[in-house]
Amino acid sequence: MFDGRDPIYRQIADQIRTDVVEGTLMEDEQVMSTTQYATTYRINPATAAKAFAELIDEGILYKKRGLGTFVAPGARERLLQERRDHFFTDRLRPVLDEARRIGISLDSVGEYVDRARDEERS
Amino acid sequence: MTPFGVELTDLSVRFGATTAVNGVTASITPGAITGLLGRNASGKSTLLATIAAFRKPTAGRVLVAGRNPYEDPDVTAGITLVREAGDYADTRVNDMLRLAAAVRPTWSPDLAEHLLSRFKLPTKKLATNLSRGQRSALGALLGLASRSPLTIFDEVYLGMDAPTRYVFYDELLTDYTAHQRTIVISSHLIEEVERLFEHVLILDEGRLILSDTAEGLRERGQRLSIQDLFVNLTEDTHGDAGMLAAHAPGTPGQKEWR
Repeated sequence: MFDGRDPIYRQIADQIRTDVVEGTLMEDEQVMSTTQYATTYRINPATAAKAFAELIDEGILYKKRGLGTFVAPGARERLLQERRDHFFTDRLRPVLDEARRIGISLDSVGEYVDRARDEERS
Repeated sequence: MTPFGVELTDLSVRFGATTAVNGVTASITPGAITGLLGRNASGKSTLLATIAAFRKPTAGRVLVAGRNPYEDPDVTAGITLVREAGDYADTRVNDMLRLAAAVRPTWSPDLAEHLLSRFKLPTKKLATNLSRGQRSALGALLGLASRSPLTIFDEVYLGMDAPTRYVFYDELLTDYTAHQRTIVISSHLIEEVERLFEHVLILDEGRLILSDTAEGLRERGQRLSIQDLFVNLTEDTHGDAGMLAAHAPGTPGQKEWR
């Protein structure tokens, strides 16, 4: 766990975001403490604290003094909206660029999308 | 007890013609776990022994908790240095624990008891008759149970087998999160320990060539691990380490690697 080359705090933050989007972590549910992160994944507690600070800044988590850190209400919707906002620029655009590079026309891409839509309807 | 910070200013330590530590200016953040990395004979042990007041600087200054630690018992009572070789006399393990309890104001008998069983250490044996792995484990125990405001592990886990090392890392993190103090861990085996660090200092041929947060290093390393960076920085050709030059601390003498 958390052994990629990215900074560990970023991997922890991404994991929490994914858990919130997928509903593994529910709103107002408590997340593991920095101490639990440190001892479970053998990392410096300050590293986990940095991930928490980032997510608190983004309004994904909130702190209850003396109790711990929790998923903010509306966090899932906010993360989903963020991903939707970036879907076309971050996800679809590179696919279309690649299609042009390898000689697939936008019409063929469109046909594929039409077929996918038909399959979904049936 | 408040964790001790360390300030080194233009510190040099020489033995005859050999310069072991050469003009090091650095600070060690109080309450954080700092990794001191360097190849063999890069000056790590000399630097740590000087911080722990086992040695006198040839030039420059060491401040621990704002004071010169050399021959200052109020400061040295709060510094525990554990060395790989172990500084053991012909003393039984349980007598060594009793001695440590007497000289360490922050000593935890409960933690010592817990670690004795975690490391499966015999208490009645002479410390000098323990196996190398057991001696390392005893060092780790003495360092952890002292809960000193400045605790230094100098390559202490080298003699331990892998399962014992992981016991050490886990016990260190567990106790550190409950009792925050300044911890310095020196190593030339980086991969296993780099995740424990909040700060990293890299020493090469007696000079400090890098000082940064561990996560800052991972970010700047463009997806290199600290292990990779370390190899890049300290290999003879000094490889493509130039990209890090701008982030080295403001000490003289880094020009040789661009």
